[in-house]
Amino acid sequence: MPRQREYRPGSAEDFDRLYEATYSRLLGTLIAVLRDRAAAEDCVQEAYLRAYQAWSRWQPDAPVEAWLHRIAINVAISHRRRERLREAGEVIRRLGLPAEPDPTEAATPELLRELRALPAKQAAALVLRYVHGYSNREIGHALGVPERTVASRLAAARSRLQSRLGWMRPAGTWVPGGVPSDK
Amino acid sequence: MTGGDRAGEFERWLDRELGRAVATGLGAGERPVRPAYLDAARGKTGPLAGVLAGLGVKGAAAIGAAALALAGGGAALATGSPNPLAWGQQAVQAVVARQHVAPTAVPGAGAGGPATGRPQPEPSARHASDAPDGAAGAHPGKAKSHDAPRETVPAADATSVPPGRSGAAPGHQRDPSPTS
Repeated sequence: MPRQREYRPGSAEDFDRLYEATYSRLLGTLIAVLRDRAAAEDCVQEAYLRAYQAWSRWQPDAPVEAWLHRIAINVAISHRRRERLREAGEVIRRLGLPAEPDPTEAATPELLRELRALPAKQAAALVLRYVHGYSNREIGHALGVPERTVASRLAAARSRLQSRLGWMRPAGTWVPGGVPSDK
Repeated sequence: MTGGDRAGEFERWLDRELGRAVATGLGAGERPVRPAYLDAARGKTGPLAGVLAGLGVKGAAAIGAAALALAGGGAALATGSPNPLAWGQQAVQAVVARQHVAPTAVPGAGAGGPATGRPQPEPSARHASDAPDGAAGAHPGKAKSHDAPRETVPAADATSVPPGRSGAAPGHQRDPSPTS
């Protein structure tokens, strides 16, 4: 995570640097939360726009990238809500006809697919910890929850993902998705 | 194998595989050359929008207050009194004075009275005393139907408008504040 003392609230130049330094990580988080890359890119842009509008009010005692993540996760949650509504409308429109398969779905790693099926905040918490290496305090800032509840949130997210992936270890080997391992 | 071991092993696996999965989803995508926040916050809305955004809510409120103060200052200049209560009184006096100049402008008194927010009886009573038969003050609506040459009325009303306008100016001055 970038050192936040390098950033001055309200400084346009600093915000540009922040964008450069954090864009990939923010996009990575939203790719894990949202269905596709295009939606993630749109939401990241929306998040930076909102962050820019609030930049003068950012308080340096909050980790800057966690603050950005908080905005981005909220944008993603709103997007998912709209997406669900649209899907419900699609189901009604098709009146029971089978949905057309998403061509990008097959190419997506199973882990990413299952991660996207989790609640947005749980998926984000796992990415923040296991991909970005955030501390509990930083995850707390990003999710808008107290630091002391982060460990239990992470445990719940891991357990849910483990269950969705159907992980078992029948003969000393972890088997993702119930498919027997060659090892 | 215990549940704790299993969870620990899953966590290690997650630590290893999640970064890879996200990197796969991320691909080799390039960063947008021009971020959307630059267009929306600086470019399309002009340089003033950036300044106003920087001012925030308090700044916008201060600008609105300054606009109201300016409008109030204009009204004070027009009426010669800094007291807002006196502005309405000045407006009433101006209307009444005009009615004295053009006594046939009876309906104007009826229209001007309520607009100033002042009680009707005072100007009506005065006018009634000026009218030859007193009927004009008592029945302005009827008087309106009897008096044919009403062309003088709009002119009289128009000249009596400035104090009223200066009193209404703060309302108009509020218009720019939402854009800030």
